[in-house]
Amino acid sequence: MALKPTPGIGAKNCDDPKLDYKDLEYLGKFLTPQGQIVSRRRSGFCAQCQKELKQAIKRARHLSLLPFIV
Amino acid sequence: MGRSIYRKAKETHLGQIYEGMIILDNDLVRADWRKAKATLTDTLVKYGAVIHTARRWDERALAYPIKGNQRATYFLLYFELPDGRSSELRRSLDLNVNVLRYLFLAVDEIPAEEAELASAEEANDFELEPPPEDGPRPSVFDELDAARESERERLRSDEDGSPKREETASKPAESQEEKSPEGDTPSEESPKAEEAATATTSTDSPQES
Repeated sequence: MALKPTPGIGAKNCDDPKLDYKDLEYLGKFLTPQGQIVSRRRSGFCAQCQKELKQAIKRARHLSLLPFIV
Repeated sequence: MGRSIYRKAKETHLGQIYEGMIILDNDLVRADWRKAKATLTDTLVKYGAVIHTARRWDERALAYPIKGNQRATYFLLYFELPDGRSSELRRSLDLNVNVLRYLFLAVDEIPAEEAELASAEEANDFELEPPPEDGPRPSVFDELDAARESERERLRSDEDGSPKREETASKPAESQEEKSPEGDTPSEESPKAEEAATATTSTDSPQES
């Protein structure tokens, strides 16, 4: 039986994502308690936005704004 | 579909606007933050950059220590850089001890509120509180260091101390054997002596009476 798609965290925001590496409060929503980036299934982003999310989080990690691992 | 304001860095055409985030050591900022900012902008100007805005973005605890620093000051700059000077600038920042880390991104435009924030900071009456001290090292690192040290000691003892262990293991057995007869004799003798003493006292006492 196929799993039902669940509404993700960023589902409402996919049309207008504010994916800036400086917006740590917003980016923090897409991290697991261990500091991993959540999947598209959980974030609810489209493929393009998920890539931008990944890029923004990785930039924040490079600048020590977000941890690589908690 | 929305798109990020950032795009892939292209260093091909003149007049490209860059957003730069530079992390500076707090010691430099604590000494004189205006001077620290000036040295940073001077470095960029030296490589032909035209700086539009430059401001202190934040002073915060780092998510992980960089070069032994737990806290640092972030500077946000928007500038134009001529073609082909990026690599020279990057090399210069790499060699600068006070620059902990940096990130340059090519952007399409400077955010509207950025000019206001930067001009507010440049006012003469603007004062900045000195950044706090790094504070005590988190106890997690001490625990990790202790665990690492104990592991090293264990490995060292495994490499060097394997014959020693045999020696030490054999010694206690010998010592026990040596000690045991000495230790047992007084305990065995003492009850006999006590019994004999009591017998003599019991036999002697009626005769005396």
